[in-house]
Amino acid sequence: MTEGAEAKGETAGGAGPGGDSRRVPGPVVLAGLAPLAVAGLYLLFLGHRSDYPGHFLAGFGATLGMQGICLLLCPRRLVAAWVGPIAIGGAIACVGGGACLEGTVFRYSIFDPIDFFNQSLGAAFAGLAFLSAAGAGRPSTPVLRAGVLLAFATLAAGFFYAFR
Amino acid sequence: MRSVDLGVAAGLVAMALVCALGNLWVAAARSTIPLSLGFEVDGKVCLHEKHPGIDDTCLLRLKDRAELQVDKALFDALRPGDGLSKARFDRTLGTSHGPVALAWSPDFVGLSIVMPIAVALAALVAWRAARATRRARGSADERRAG
Repeated sequence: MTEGAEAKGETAGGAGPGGDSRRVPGPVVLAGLAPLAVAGLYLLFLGHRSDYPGHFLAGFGATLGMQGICLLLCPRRLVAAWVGPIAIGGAIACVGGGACLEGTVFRYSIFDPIDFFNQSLGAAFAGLAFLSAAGAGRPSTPVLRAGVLLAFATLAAGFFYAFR
Repeated sequence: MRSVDLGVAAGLVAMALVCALGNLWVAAARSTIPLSLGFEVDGKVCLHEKHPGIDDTCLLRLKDRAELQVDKALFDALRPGDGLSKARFDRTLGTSHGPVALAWSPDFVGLSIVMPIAVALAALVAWRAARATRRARGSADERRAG
């Protein structure tokens, strides 16, 4: 990583200053794979309820996407200081937004607390993934690209499993 | 990782834990096994969700106008006018037309496997993130000091 990049607050998303910015660091890979593993466990042990992993993945993807937008809007010099508030504040905001959607747009019969808890669990995993990627400062470009891809893919998979 | 970020990581793991426990409690309560009951069923209604027959909402309407969501198997075994009684964690529900055996639903069984693993994974992700960030910031501080 160049000194210029470090001065801008860029790191390899957990690899730290001086790390190879072309690769995605191990903790970030783990943080991205963990929700996919949980979704796989839902399908394995609760295969008859595809809406459970659907809500989990949708909660993860929507929260990660929202946190990514906050990161892009955040001034570079403030990224390190704002990572924590964006991680927890974004997760809590998406839990609240999810509760509103579950109680209105997606309310078919009653407010289902299990749907709400599953999407909130996804939001918590997204907060942890965001913290893993941006905890040491603005993530490298490969980490950002992987994050955008993961957010879109999990959100789409979430809707697929929730409504199929 | 600064102490504020450690707090954030711990808070997110706590959020995952609360959601997991909430999932388990709601699924368990629908079997009525962990509940203490003593009321009369006034009526019952089954509302369809996104997948009729799979994620239906089965509600018992009680005399005091409250509603209790129960598993489909239990819903089918009860009739309006049934007086229900049981103590907490009894596996048999006393009704006006005889005892009804209670069982954990497949939803609860599945969630009781998935939820502990999910919380453990969340804790692992938080720990790895904390360690990696502490190292990265330590290196940055050393470079500045050097």
